[in-house]
Amino acid sequence: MAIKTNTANAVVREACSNIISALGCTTKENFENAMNGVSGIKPTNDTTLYPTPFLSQRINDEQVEKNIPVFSSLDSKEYTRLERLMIASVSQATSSGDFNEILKSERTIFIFSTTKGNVRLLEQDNQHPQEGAFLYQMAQKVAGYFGAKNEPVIVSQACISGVVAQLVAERLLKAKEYETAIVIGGDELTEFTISGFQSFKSVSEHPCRPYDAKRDGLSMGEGVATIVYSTLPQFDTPQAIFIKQGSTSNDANHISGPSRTGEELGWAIKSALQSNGHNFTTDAIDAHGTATLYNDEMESKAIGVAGLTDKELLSLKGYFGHTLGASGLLETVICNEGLRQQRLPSTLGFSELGVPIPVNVRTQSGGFYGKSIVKTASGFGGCNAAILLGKDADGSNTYHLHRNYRNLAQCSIADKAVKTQGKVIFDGSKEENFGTFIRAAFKNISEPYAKFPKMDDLCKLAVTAVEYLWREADHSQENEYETALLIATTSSSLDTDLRHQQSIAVKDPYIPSPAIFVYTLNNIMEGEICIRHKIKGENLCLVCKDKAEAQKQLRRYADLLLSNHYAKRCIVGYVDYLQGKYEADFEDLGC
Amino acid sequence: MEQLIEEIKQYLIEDLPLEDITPAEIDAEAPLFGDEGLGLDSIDALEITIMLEKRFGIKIADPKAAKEIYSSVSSIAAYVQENRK
Repeated sequence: MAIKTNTANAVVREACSNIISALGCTTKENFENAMNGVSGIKPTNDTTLYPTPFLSQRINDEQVEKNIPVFSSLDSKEYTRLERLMIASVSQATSSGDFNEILKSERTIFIFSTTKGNVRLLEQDNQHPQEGAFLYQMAQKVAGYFGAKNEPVIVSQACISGVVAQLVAERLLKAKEYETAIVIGGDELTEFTISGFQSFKSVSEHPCRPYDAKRDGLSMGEGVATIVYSTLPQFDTPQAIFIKQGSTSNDANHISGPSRTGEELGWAIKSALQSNGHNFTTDAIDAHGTATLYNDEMESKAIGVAGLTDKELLSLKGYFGHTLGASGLLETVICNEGLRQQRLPSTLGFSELGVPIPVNVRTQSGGFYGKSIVKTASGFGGCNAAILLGKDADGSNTYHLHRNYRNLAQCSIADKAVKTQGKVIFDGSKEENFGTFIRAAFKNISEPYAKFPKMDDLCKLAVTAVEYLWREADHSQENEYETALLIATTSSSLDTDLRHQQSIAVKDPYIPSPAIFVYTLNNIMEGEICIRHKIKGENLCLVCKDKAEAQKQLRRYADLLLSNHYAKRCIVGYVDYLQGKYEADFEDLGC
Repeated sequence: MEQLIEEIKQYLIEDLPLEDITPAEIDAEAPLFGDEGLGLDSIDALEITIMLEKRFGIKIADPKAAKEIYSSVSSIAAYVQENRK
């Protein structure tokens, strides 16, 4: 068995960053505006986004054109607005140094964080997705602009995408797979997402009030952010900020409602501080803090579970709103800048504590002399993530890639047949269509499960494949946090995205459905599987150009988790469903 | 009222949707949410709000009121009876 040996420890530094939001086109502008208490959340009256006025933080395109010329120089017929914003963000971030060679290097990886990418393209045709609507197409285009040599990694994992993208960067760099990671996060305000969040009744009529007694929902936002992380020595400066380590977990409780106990986010925070033989502390937490009733309540409990109620707790949503797939990255840029400048903004919108555990919400903008911050995020699908950011390189380490995991079981579903270990175990060739086939296949192996008929086709496919896989091997040796679930798809949730887009095309009556919208996040299938099998360990949800690329990326990540004690077991799967075409291929990997 | 209760059961089965359940199997007095009865969850509650709007033209603006109205099929029926146009 080939073993890749790494001797020198690696440290991962932030080399440069950028934010594009209503608060500016550079990290500095955004940071200063937040420090001065300026919020980008403003009344929005645009019926192309929502029939009635609402509050949101929107990027001012004219401001971007003025400040980052590449934004307007790119042909808008060739590049979508989001692609141009992403290219502008990376261009601005890397304008301060000589990044030309680094961007084109074989030792550089582009990592994207987005929930919906170019979903706006579905407005033009809600029957068949255009090429650009596929997230991998968007990522290839943006990375291709910079001459990227490697196929990009795309994290699409609801609201934790931005934190997970950084965690993937940290792990791949410490495993010495690459020297530099260009991490880009972005999501636009669209009718698609606004109508969806409105259908969940989770949007406030006021600017959001995180952790406050009067909080009643989130504010929508849009943003694009970039962080370049690198192990290259030229970024070793006295001002460097480090990403140390992190963790993810799943509530295994509900696909939209957060955990009742906060135990799972608490576990992710504790793991971000204490894994790999390190025992770090943190001076502050920048949490998700969306200002919905249940998210903030859960976070307070999680912070209690992690024993950090005395540490300062910050939410930046009052400035930027909820920028979805960008949020974890955008907010980390502010934290890193805060660590560097020894200043941090306050939790705008907060005045009176309204969460069950007495957390220490930061109320004053100004000096911050701590050396570390934990950045967390939680999202639909029950997912949680936490990373530790710090001013020093203490506890540097290297991840091993042993490549000696064992394949304990395998299950595939295609062409109306379920196969385990390559042999047909359920033949559904007589079934009329995918719907009747998958129902029969699930019924063949499981007692009635009330959640199953409510799932979309992508989830039904993934859940059925794992149902068969799970029976093939013993799972009694691992506790609930020792099994990881890693999934990749090519079409992400486009099939259900089309259904949601079709439903909002009907204007009278305009009634978007939450039961459809929730499945427009492709990591919901992870949530469903975690609920079904009580998996609470590491979670990852990627989008890749095809199955071969997906398996390459997933197996490498599983190897990393197994070889470095982040998991004892990895359920790894490629799953894809679009307009009746489907395929699932899952493996159960162990040490 | 009996007829309205049967109608609501049918709409719940179609709109949520509830598979492998017939209207006869739904106890009109049993709790809809939690571990007993149908075991519905928070997304189902939002879908019931939509069902009432689509099927009966009734808008429920206050989510706190919804909790009480949605406690059982007969409590939904009573509310529909009182509020439908």
